[in-house]
Amino acid sequence: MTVTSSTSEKTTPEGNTTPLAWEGQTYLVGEEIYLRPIDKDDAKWSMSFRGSRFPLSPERTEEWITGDILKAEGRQHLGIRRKSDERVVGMAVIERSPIGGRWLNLFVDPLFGSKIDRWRLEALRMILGWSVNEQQRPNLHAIVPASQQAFVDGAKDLGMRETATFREYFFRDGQRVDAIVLEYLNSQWVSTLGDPNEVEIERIGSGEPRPVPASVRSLSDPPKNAVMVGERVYLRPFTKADAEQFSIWSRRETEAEAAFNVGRYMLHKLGKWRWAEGFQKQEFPEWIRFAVADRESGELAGGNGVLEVDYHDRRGETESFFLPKFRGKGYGSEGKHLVLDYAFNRLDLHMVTSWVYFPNTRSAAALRKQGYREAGRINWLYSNKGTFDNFVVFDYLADEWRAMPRTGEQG
Amino acid sequence: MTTSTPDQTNPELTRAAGQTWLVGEEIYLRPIVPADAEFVSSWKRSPFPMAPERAREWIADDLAKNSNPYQKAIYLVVRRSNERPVGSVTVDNRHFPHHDVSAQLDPLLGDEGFRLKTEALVLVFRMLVDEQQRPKVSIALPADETLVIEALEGIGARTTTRFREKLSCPSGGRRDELVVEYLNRDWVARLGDPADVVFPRTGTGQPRPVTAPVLPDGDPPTNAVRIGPRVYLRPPQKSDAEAVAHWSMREIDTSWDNGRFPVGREGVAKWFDDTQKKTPPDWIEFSVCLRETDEYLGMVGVLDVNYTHRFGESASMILNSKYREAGYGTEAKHLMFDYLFNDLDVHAIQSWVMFDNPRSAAALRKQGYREAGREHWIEFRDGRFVSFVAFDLLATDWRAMPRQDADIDS
Repeated sequence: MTVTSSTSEKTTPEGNTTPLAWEGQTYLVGEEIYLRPIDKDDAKWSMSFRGSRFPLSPERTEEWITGDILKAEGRQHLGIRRKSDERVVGMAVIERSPIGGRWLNLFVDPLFGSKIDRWRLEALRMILGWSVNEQQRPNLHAIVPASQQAFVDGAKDLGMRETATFREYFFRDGQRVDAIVLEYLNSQWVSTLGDPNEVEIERIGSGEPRPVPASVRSLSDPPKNAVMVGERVYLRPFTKADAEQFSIWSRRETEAEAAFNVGRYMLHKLGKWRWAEGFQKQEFPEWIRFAVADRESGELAGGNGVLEVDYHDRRGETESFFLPKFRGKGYGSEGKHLVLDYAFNRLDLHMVTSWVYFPNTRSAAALRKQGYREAGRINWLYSNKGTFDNFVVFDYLADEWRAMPRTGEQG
Repeated sequence: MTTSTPDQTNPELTRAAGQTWLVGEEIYLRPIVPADAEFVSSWKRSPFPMAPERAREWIADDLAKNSNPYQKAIYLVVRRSNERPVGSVTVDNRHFPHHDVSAQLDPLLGDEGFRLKTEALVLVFRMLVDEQQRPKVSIALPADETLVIEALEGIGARTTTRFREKLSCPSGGRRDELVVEYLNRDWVARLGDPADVVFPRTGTGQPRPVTAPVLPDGDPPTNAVRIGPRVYLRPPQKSDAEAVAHWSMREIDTSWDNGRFPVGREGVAKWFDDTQKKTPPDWIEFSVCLRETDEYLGMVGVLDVNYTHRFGESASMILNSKYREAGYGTEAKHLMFDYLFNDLDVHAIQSWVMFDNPRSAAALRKQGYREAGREHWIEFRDGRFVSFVAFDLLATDWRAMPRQDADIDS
């Protein structure tokens, strides 16, 4: 292999000089830093770029570089490197959204102190120009701690804007910190489709929270395998038989018009079970999925749970799905409050979020009734009616849920 | 509510009763369950025999692992009158804005199979585009399946590409393959009809003489497979991965694809390794090296190789920009054609080029490819979806092309 002639050199710890790898690189090169894919030689800087709260040896990181990250379809890991000596100081992880947009997670080693914001912004500037404009993608999103004020301000100077704030989302430096959702839109797509912020969120219902139906704390003979029990429904672990029922229901869905999604999707019994079983095999599951059963008949009424659980930041995202005959009768809300009870009182989560498709005004109204607060919007994440459509997003703090009026404790 | 037992599948999983969508006059579509293994020859997309026992394993393992209706899913086509599985439809949703569908109906059903395939495809096209609001769906169909094609045209689908002699016929000989697309009306109203966009052409469009392979006077380069006057082809090796990673960060041309794509050497090395592990491989890649210095210049290859119909998609990339526009890529391409057509007996190859890349399209024409049509809304460009122009090249076309004069070695 012939490498282009180099004019710059670095000195190794042994005193030898070698050409700097960024010489000749034609893009993603800034003033102080540059970006290129992570390779196994970078493993020695493990803690500078993994963004792990737990110690990771170079050996373990080398395994990760030559194994796990090569299997990550639709996700790119770029090392952020200091130009002067090629040292890896951070990492940008870029993921593909369902419509080909981008999600960005940017990490720079916090031990670099005053240089962090400068390097992060330099990386962001290059990534926006390359990953969105050059690669013609419609948008890029990032969720960042509000405590990174200089970065947020700098991102706005680069053309990003804030579309949502999740309260007390992160735990940073001994305190709770809000998360700011930043978006960057490709101006050519804005010319074609218009500014998504101009599309109003359609709201139905009063928006007033309703009292929480309290869970049942003690029973002489609780339903078999129950985890949380309410007045009419209870939560139990999701089983293979539930996956089978979900597959049957998915074929009988009557609401084609964006009740929970854009259009209907048929579920494969074994695929659904494999998915649920995978999470149950994890010691700390990323997605905790319950089956919701009718107390009177034991019949499966639906499913709900918490996904994207972060056990350090103590947060997650709630979700629920109910069989048509159990919709619109309060079963979903009762089941949701059981999940919230589980999330806040058993797992000690500090807050949860929820995302709803814009056309699904009914689910958004239900969340407001359950006590969720609207946190903003996340634009252009799916295709609908000849455009990219948006999510309305919510958050809910444990303290708020605990302060909600109750219908009365039982048991 | 009924449930499955270890020995018996829940009948609610295998019957049409109660299903509210993907239900037609004669057939309906549903997820595959282990009991369907008994009819695997009717629905599995493979020319090779598979026992029901093996099919059960495949359903429980491969299918379950890869069954995500938001990504890729297989639906069983079932005859309503007797609940018999008669075929399957595969939907690939992973490449927004375009979505691919393929269908396999039991060939032993004869004309009934075409009728049922038509009904299944109409249901699936409408589900993906009208209900799920995806911009576009397309399917490749044998040109002689006129019943199916006309029915799809009846709901507003249209044929955009004809690949000559791409498929072998069950009764011998070859037949063309058509690409039929169905676009979402709201997206067309928003962006305009992509068929109205004119594909820009540059160059004369005239094929140039073929650079034939040579036999060297002395030893051939190490591990060479084909040798030309200036370059040779050899299998990719680990050291090439370093060069691919290096040049991916030094790209200056953003026009042939949507921007530049950095790759890491570990990923490239794994890709080389993975493709060479398979026999026969579905992606055959060669490194292109300079004869004079053995320098690695880039790669040529053929992907999605189909060994029963004997076709594949060609691809090439000269990584170091100083070797572009100097004929090295074309020389390497003809060495690869010689390998594909003369060693592997490939009958036809296809290639796709983005509308905004008329230079690569002109190079293909010079190499002897013919325009086969267009495939709309494949990628993003300038705040819209951009289309690709499709080409094909038959072995007979290539053999009939004039050859360059004898070269220095032979």
